[in-house]
Amino acid sequence: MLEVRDLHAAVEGKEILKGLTLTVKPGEVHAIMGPNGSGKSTLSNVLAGRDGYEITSGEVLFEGKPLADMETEERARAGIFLAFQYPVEIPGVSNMEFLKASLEAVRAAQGKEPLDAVTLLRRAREACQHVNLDQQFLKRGVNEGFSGGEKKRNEIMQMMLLEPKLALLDETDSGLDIDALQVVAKGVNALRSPERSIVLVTHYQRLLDYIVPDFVHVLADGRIIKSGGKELALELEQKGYGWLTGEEESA
Amino acid sequence: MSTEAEIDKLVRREYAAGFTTSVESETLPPGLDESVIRHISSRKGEPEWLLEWRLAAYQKWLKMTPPQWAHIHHPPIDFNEVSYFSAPKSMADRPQSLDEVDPELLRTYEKLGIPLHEQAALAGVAVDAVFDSVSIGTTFRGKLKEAGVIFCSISEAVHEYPELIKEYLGSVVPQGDNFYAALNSAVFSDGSFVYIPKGVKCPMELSTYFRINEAKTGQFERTLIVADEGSQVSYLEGCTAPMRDENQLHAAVVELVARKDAKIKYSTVQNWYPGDEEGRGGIYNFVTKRGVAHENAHISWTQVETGSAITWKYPSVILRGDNSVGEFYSVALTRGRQQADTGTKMIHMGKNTKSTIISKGISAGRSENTYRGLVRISPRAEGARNFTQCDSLLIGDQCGAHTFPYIESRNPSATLEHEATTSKVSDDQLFLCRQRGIDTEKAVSMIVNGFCKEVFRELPMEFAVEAGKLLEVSLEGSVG
Amino acid sequence: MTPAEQLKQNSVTLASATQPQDGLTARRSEALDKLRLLPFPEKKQEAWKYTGLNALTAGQLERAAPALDADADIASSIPSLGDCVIVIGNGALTGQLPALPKGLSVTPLSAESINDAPPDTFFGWLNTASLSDGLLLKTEPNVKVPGIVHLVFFNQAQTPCHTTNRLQVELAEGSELTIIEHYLGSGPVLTNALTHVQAGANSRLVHYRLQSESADSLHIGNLQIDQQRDSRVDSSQLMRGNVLRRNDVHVRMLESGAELTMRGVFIARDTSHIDNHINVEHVAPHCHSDQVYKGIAGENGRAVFNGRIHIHQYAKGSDAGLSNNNMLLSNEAEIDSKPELEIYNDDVKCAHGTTIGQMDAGQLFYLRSRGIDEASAKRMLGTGFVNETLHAMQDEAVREWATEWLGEAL
Repeated sequence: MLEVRDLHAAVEGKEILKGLTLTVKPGEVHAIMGPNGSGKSTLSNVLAGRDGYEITSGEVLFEGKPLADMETEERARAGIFLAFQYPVEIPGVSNMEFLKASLEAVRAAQGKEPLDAVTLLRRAREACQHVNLDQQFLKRGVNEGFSGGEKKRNEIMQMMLLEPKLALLDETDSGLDIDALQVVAKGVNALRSPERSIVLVTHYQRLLDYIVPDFVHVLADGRIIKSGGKELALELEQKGYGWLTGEEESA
Repeated sequence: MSTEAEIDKLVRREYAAGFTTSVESETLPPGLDESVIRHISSRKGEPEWLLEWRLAAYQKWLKMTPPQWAHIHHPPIDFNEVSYFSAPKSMADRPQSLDEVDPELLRTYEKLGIPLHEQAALAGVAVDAVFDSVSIGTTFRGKLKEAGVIFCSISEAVHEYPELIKEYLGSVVPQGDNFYAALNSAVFSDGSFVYIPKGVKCPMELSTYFRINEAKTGQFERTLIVADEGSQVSYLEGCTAPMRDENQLHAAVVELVARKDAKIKYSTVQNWYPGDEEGRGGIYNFVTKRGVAHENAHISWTQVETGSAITWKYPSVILRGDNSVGEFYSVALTRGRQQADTGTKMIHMGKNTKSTIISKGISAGRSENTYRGLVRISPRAEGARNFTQCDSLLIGDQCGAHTFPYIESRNPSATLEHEATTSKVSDDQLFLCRQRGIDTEKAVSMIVNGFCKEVFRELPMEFAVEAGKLLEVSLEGSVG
Repeated sequence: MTPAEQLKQNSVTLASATQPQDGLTARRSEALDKLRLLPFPEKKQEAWKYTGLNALTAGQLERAAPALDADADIASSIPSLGDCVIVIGNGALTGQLPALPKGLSVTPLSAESINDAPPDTFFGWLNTASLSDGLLLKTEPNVKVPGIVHLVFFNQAQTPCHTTNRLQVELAEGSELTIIEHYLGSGPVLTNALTHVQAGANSRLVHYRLQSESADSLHIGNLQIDQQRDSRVDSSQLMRGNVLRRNDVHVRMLESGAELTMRGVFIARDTSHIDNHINVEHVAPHCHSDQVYKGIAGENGRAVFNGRIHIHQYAKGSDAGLSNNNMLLSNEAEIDSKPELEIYNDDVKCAHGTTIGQMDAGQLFYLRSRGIDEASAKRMLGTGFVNETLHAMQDEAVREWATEWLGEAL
């Protein structure tokens, strides 16, 4: 599904990712953890193709095709979904209007007919229910005036509708209280399937109590310095990042 | 492609109405003096009083100078370089019905999406088409007549309804009101006249399409709408012009009279040729629009301004009668080198008068977009209320957005509120949209349409769609 | 000659007659040349649209105020607000300078030290052209000047005349200063005041501008503030109306990271006229300005507010806000407000809001139903209306004085 090989990436000329390698197969759930400034958000932004995030060397393949050749929207249409760390407000554009445009674009790329209005609305309502989001949010401006937790749930709601092949969740758990975290986790778990891969980028081990990953990677200074199973997360919780980054320093 | 490059592409979209029509025209040589005015008047077979009225306006105009206060810059206009009258030759003997109109002219309007054959026309919309200086035909006249509604060119009205014209012409915008209104009063060639009798609700939308075709020709149309007591009308004007390298002058006057309990809704979709990217050519649009609202009357201006090299217009309402209502809803989009200085005046004279101003300015490219508005509460306007919201959206860092509201209150029981904001289409917003598979173009148009929503919903249904599309087309290539 | 031309002629006469031996002769004559080129302000000029100068008489432009009566009792009219009080009477320093706080110097303006870019207005140039005594306040770098410096400009005369007040404040890098610019006096004297502030990098200025001359005097002032990198200026401007009061405030945020807070209260009662012209320019990126002005007009008073925010092309990341709320108390009073945004950069956050309304009838009724008489109730509501701006003033003595002084006018 996703093949990252010795990826180096820079933001405004400053190298942030310094040789990152990661392989994600269909159906797998990977968690990428790391302290502040380790390059977690850069990785998500590079994968989604944000302007200003430049791949300086190495390569990223999505279903065998190099991502570097694809525009942001082409990646989205190919099935990459990024749940934003800070979802953006777009006043004046309703959530529903936004969803419709997005779904139409993604479905068209897959050769599917656009959903009729009734089906679309029914599905959107179902997705809202799934993440405990009042249907009124469909009428409001995209993320406009939403609380932090509502914005995050709105991201998951969109993910459920768009049914991506690869879901990147960029610190979707930060700023959420436990109840909201459970709701988000329920949504993500519902999407787990043998065809779909999920990459959780997170700062807190807490998320992994609710979404149990197949693999855990520790990112520090732009590289994955340790990989393991879900027990690695527990170890991290007990010992902190210093255990690993210190290890790195002494090596 | 980078977002910037895409936006750039978007902004460079071509002007779709830029074709010219080859019809043989009779055009007066450039220049303005009394003989030109006499020629226009005699050519139209006008009565003596109207000629005198024009000449008086001309005398006033000679003593005036072009206003300097607007936030626009252009080389001085040589008023002797402009031709003040042009008419298709085939119109010399006025056609009696649309069937007799030169098919080339009808095709022009069809190209613009305005079929003039009634069977093909938009159902429920009567159209008066003005080509250069003359009206070439008005649809659905019979049906309107049944309701008692008069809808014809102002030239015809001068002959057929002289009493109405005499009573109302210049009653809202006097001859010497301002430089461009005075010029219009002296040389106006044609335009539309509407009269809705007492208690009648006009059975269909009325609309006028203005088209400038001839080179070096000014267009000076005059529109007069009188809604008698308790009547209602909705009127829409649209404007286009061919792409030409030189600037063309358009100085129109629109007068609205809403008598007691009457309601007038006046909508404009203005898409005159804006000039090319470097600012060559385009229409200079200097327009005076004003309405008088008598007791309980309601006047609403809605405008979508995307064209013209220069726009200078302030559709206004004089709230003369108690409880009268004035509204102004505006979207003004500028790109390339366009300059717009537009807004409104709400003059509260009656008690409990109410006005609402919603203005949305969108600036892209290297354009300048200015809102200029006046809200004046006179001492006897007890309980008057105004709410003003003017928002600006900037696209790119080469353009300017300006807000100059004048707020004057002389009555303590009046309540005035004015709010203004400026924002931009941010990279973050575009990235979110693109990450969801929505391309930049679509994303920008969604954001812009969202920004303008409050104004679009004031437009008659058929035209709201048109306005949205027009904006999309105009914005192609504007995002940065 | 039109009345305006006559008044201009008078101004030129005044300036030509100002010839002290102080080394500023060349500056004055340059300013006089500028003055000759400018038209006298009239309503047809946009900046003077709402303020006619027909209240001015020839003497107020022609004749410099005589030296202040030696036995005039100024001291008793000065409230105790600051720790270091400097009194300028009819344009000249009275007595000796007091002991100055650490880190501050006060000297006469010289040809070298005078800022040669006064606000480009008629009265700005007239100020320089007719200047005889100007003061320069200067701080040392990285020093927090203790206490409050209270500058009193006391202008008094029996017959129409003109006084020139000139103050220049220069904050060195990293310094901090609190000053009160306080205008007092009475009689038909026109105060032409010009204050020029230069806030150096990372400096902080707390500034109060109190205009409390009596109702029969006139004041036309210019306040120019130039801000360097990361400087913070916090300015409160309080005005009660008199025959004519006009204030041009011009702030230029010249380097990034500058912050500006400006608050103003202007109250025009009886037949007084107040006109505020505020212009805040964001020249550099990432500057932040926040303005709140409250106006009240009663009886035959007239209050004018013109507030412009100008964002220059390269000033990305600008954040600017302006709110002007006004209360109109009578049928004969008038308030004119013109908030303007002039924006040449798309990466900005700008907003302005204006309201004009009256005292809330429901609130008034509520107070009266509790036994409070109408006049007191109105004063309470008026005070409530301006309180937001007063509360934000950080020096208690000034705040208390201002609350009482403004309260008298409500």
